[in-house]
Amino acid sequence: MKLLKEGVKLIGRVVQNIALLIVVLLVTGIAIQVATEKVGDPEKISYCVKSGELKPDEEGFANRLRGVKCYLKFSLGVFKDEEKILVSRTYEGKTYQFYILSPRGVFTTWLKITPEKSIAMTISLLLLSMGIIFPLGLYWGLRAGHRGGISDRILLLLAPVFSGVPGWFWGLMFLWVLWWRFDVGTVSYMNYIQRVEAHGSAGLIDHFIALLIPVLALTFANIVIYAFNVRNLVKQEAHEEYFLVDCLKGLPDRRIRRKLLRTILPSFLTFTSYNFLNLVINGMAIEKLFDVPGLGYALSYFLGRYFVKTDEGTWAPKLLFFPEGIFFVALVMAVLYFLNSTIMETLYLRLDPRREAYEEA
Amino acid sequence: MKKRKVPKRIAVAATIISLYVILAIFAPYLTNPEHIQNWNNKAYWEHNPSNAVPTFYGRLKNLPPTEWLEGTYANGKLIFEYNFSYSEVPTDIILFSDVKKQLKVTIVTPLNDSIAIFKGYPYGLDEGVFLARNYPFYYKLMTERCGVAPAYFIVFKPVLNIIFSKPKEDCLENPDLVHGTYKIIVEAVSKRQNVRLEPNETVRIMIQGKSYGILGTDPLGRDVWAGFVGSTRESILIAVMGAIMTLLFALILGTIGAVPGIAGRFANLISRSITVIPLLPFAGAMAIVIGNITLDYIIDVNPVWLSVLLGFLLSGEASRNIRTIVKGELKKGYAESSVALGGNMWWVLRKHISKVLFPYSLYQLSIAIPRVLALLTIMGFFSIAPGFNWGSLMSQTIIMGATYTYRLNWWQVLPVGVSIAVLSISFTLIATWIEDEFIKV
Repeated sequence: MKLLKEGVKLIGRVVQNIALLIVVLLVTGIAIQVATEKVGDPEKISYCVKSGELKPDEEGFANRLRGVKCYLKFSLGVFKDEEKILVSRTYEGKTYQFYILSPRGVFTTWLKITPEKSIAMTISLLLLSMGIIFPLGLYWGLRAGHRGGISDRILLLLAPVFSGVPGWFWGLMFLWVLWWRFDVGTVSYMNYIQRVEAHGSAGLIDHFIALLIPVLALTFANIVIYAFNVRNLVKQEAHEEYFLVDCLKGLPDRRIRRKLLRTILPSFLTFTSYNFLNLVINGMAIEKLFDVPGLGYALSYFLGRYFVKTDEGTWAPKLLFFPEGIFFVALVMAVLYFLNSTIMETLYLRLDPRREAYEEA
Repeated sequence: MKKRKVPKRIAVAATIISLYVILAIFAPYLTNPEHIQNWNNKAYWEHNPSNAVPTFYGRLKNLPPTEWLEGTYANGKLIFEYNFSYSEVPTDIILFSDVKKQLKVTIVTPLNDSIAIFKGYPYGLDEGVFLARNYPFYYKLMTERCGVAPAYFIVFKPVLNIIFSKPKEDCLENPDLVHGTYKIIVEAVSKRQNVRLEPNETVRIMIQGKSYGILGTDPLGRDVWAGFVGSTRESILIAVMGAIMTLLFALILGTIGAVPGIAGRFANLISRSITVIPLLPFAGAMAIVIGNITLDYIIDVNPVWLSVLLGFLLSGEASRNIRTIVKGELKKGYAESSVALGGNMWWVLRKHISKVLFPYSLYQLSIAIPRVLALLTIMGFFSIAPGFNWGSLMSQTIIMGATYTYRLNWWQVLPVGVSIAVLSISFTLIATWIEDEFIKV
């Protein structure tokens, strides 16, 4: 019965999250459409207009919805294994049929990577970083909060620095120290892997070397923040009676910490859940900086101002704006957040004994 | 009333913030305002050396600085003396003149070699003649002076090595530099008549060195100090206004979201949506929506609107926290008693809850400023930071690093990076202090 109740609650939360996902994607899609109109030349920049699914001169909410639907179709279409699609256009009473590149074709031609690889790269970067941040952050925070001493003093000293300084700054610092000064790691993941592949195939170790500085930067930028959060939660718990009783009983540190961990874990999960999007954004900036072909790298190819070489050999600025590509990145980010949020809430439901507090949030 | 003692670290943090505010206020007086106005005008910067290191660093590395030479007039000629004692040759020598006569430029080395490096009409005081760009001439000069023709293309090579070194075979690639005073003699020449320079005629010589100004130059030759100072005002303005907007949105959404009813549910939905919105794609699209795209493809946005956008996007988490605080307070005895005694919900919020929220608002304000700055620079990484601020400056650094040189000049990265780091730490320290003093009991 209790399990059923929890299941119903969880389903309710998932439905809520799906609704939120739809709202957010609608708003983002509409913003991208308005921006496309402002950039101009939708026939040139928008795949949906090019394929005839969206009419740029039509206005109204219905057309906006059609636009978002088309963006969504493109974003899902990048996973379909087809090279070209047949398009029909009617012009002056005659219907013409011609082939255009499929969404997947556009994506891979533009970025030279598949969408699956792009998503996998971002997830790998996040997982590798989280794989270090989570255990180390928890251990450091627990130790500092419970025992105090030098680990606590270091954490107190570093917390303001790491809370304020953006993640990319640490990326640049590692780039400077490790790559420029000591030739450790690489500045460009893509170049490194291509170089290795020119002499054979790139193995797992090569990928690790290429991802070393990005992972370190992301870990470094976040570990102190996570540890500080755990430390504060532990300090709050240290005022509780059970903690004092445990100490008076003379329980070993490890047991007390395990108990503390279980108590603070729900609050820590809430923090992790909120911080996830922040981590994704920092990860995207790091990807851009180190040429890691993930979502950040993809976004930088779909949106931004760049200098391109003209026919005369000079450099000229150009604004890149590929609405469907931007929506694809937004969709993956939103889905990642949805998954993170659902997993965290499931864990929360299992771990938090204080149901009322859960219902409040 | 208990007098609070402000810790030293907070005093230092407040001083740092004040210094940046002063820098923002007096920015136009700390550099040539024309530099700031012409930041995106490539032609304006063409006489500066590209990728030049800051002068102080150049001094440490004994690199030639960028400087104007003083000329002395004698017998219809202008003689400029250049004391060369550096480890590398300058990038170029630029001749500026508005005379309508044909000019001849000769360099007399400390070894008493006389080398004519230019003969022709100058392009005026604005254009300038780049004396080290006549590559066919330097090809010939190397053949004559060093006894061997260059084995490769000499474009973009340090051709002045041929003049500033002892004549030997590898004088271009591995020069034995000759230190001492070089005389650059400018005179008027004509085949048909006797011409000479008059004392009132303007001829100027600029040594395009390897170091420049306070913070060096970028790949386009732009003065990094001018860019940094010029963008500071907008950055500080956006950071402060963005933080105020964050707080405003957070207070409105968080407070209304805590109140039962349709308005509360709607505010709660908006607040939750903000926390999950795909920030970068949305911010990029919105920056274009609220701004204008110039002919040079720069996204031009009014800083106030940009602050509203950033403030809105960053208000999610803060609004959730405020909602939790308000909900917690509304459940307390004093609030429930007020409602039981007939107090209107809005009256309770205004009279009681606002007092609780005030110190938290100060804390949020301090913590929001570094967040706005961080978001602005992350937008810069994706070249979607509109306007002229630290974000767009960082964006140009990253783009140019990749496009022109495939490197990041530390003198371009550090001013913005260190400023954001120092300001962020200062605001975070103040926020932590507010939290310790006023929020935690």
